[in-house]
Amino acid sequence: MLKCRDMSHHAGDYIEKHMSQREKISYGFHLFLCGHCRLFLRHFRTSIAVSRELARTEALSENELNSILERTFREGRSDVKTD
Amino acid sequence: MLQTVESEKDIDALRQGDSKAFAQLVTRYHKQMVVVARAIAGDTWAEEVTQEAWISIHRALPKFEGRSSIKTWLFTIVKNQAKTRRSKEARLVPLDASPLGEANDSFANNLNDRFRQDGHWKEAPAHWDSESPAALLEESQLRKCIVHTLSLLSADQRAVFTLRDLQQLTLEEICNILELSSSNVRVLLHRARLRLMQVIDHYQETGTC
Repeated sequence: MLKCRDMSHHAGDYIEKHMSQREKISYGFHLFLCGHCRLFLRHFRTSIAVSRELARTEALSENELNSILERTFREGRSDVKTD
Repeated sequence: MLQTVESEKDIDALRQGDSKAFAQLVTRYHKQMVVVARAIAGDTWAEEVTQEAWISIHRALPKFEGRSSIKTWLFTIVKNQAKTRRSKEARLVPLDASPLGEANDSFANNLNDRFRQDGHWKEAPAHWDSESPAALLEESQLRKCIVHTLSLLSADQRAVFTLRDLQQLTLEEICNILELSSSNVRVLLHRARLRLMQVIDHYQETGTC
């Protein structure tokens, strides 16, 4: 059975679903039994959500935006690429 | 600002040269593109490279065919621009070169210290006062701590973290953009996440960074 230390090391793989079926069952079984690891995993997920929320609320300043746009439009559409 | 996937209508507007739609695109992706440019071309050139990428993107948008999502396309263009710049400057940016690599290793060690020899927790992880991201970020001091921590991550860690956790690109797309192996991306991502978690954990326990 996985130890709590292994649980912390593989938390990312678990939330990324980067595990075999067997590893996933083993991870899930440990979580079912261990409140400490459930709390760790919850904090791990919350940390990711916090950074996402932070990035969402951090905007480019108007000056920065205008400076980028001004230079971009000035250079114009002189040639063309495809994706 | 980050979470939207551009609709067909937005993409049509971009193809037709709608400057308002283009401004929204810049607002939404510029900072994350700088992070990617920094990981490839280094800090000195990151802003300039990203500006050059916007010029290329603006020129290329009328021909955007939608074979990939627009954000993957944007990050691929900034990657190519950054690689070109790196070649021009004839200098390599080593993987995970920041001294913070060591700090992050030390955090991994700190985490290991929280377990007994038999691999189980010595003590329960501390409870956090709040587990709501919005509520946590209302604490301006914690917000500053997180911003500071993100700024101290190595360029590679920050790029992987940005592309995965903020932009939600797949691991495969990230490997392609940053030209890193899957295992390398996973290690960098895990370290960055643990580092951030440590900051929140420490703040919850002590009220300081």
